[in-house]
Amino acid sequence: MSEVEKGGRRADREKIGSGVERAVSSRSGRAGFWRTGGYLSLIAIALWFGIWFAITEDGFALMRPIMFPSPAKVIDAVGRISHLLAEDVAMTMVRVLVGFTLGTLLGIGLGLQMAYNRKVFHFFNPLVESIRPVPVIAMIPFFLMWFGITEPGKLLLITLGVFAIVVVSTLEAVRNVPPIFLRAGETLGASKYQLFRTIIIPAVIPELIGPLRVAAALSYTLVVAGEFMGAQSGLGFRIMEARRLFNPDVILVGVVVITGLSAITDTLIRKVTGYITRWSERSVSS
Amino acid sequence: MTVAQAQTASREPGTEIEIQDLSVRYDEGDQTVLALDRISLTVRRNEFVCVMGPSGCGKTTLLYVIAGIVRPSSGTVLVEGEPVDRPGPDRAVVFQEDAVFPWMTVEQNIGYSLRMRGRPKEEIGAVVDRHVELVGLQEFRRAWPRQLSGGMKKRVDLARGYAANPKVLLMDEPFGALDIETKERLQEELHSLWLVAPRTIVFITHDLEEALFLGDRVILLSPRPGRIAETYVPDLDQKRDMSIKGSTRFVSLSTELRGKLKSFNVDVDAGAS
Repeated sequence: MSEVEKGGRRADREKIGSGVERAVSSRSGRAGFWRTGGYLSLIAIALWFGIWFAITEDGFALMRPIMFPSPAKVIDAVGRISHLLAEDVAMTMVRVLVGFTLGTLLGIGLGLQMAYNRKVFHFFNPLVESIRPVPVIAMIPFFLMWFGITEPGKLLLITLGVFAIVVVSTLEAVRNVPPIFLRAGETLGASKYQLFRTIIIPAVIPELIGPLRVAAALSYTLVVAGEFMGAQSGLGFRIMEARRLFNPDVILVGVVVITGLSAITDTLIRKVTGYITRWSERSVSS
Repeated sequence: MTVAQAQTASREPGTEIEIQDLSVRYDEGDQTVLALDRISLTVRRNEFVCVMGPSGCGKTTLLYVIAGIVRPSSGTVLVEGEPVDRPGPDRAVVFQEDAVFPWMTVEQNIGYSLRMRGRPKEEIGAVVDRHVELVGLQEFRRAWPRQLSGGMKKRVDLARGYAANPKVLLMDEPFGALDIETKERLQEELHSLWLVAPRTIVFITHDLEEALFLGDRVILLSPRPGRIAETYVPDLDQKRDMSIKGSTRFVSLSTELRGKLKSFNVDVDAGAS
């Protein structure tokens, strides 16, 4: 790649970067708020709440209260179930954390082994390839038969879903490590293990950020599915329970809380991996 | 970088690399291609040898054989009397591509080889200090490679190779991807670096002016199969900068070399090998 080409690409990135900066600063900068239309976001949010208020029972009651709760009802519901919410959130988080961590560790572990050892690859590849396209939710009846409504069934559901994404991404990421780095490391005296630790691992991490974020979001979907299939607590359980008791306001509270948790998790993953990969060109813009 | 004084006195005599009857054959499909044909070459300790030739003449293959990346089909390659059988830090390579590790800072890159070989912290620190200074990157020692220009990255790469303290430094068209200005500046810097810190260097290039400017000796390979077609000894002043390219000696040498390359009936500057 020529210096000129590189310069061109860097200039492009700067252009894009400054564009992003401009968009961001317009949200915080007072002048930009009016000039570039930042206030439109506030209007849109107000509009959505207005519509919500208008169509539900406190407004024009276009939707029956049993079908969709009004804003007032939802706020009321938060107060009513707040003493249960803490435990629900805790249970759901523990399931997500354990399942996600197990799936990630197993996925990265096997992915690296498969990328590094041809025999391991050939042994596990058919297995991995046949598990990968399976929608894990379709397997729920088996989990129910094997584990009933105990914890291992729910954890396995999440672990399996996360594992399938992470193992394939890891394998792919290792294959994308530019050979020139390995060759350079080799001629500078690195052993096979050192190449692995000082070159493969750092080169792979940026490629895994996307898949990890997808896997984390999936864990929240799967934990709800798992709690739907039977549980004593957790946000998924609370939502199902609310449906049984005809409490649409509680259902909406459950949905909002789990969405919030998923968003927080995503931000956390982005922040942590962003710091770890602060060397990479990509981390400049994200 | 400071302009170096010629330190010819400190450069010891002796043989560093001995290549005898080296041939390399590749299997390409069901054909066998002869890349190098019975090359014999002796490189003295601290000699700067440039190998050039038309595209596809096998010059990179020759470098890779010395590096231990490619195995010879026949013949022997000895470095300080030891046969070469695998890559190793006694034969550090500076590649044409950008091989600076982007996840390590400048100083971590430069200290990489010593770290991998488990040298004590103080030694690594001292070596890194010295080499950061040799390539003039003091202010950038904690910078990430993405913050550096192409020329600065090449300096890191050179310093990393030098800091490995190899018997032989192998350079595979290291400046091939740089713009002409940066390239000429780095040629000057590499030359003065080599005067200050003498080292056996095998430098592959397809740029004949680069070869004549840098080399104690310029080996010209013929088109595939690569054989040694000609050897030139530029014999320029030790202390030199780009202005030497206008000297009578340099002009006549480059005319001669260009003529020789033309006689091979291939493009002189037809890209990488």
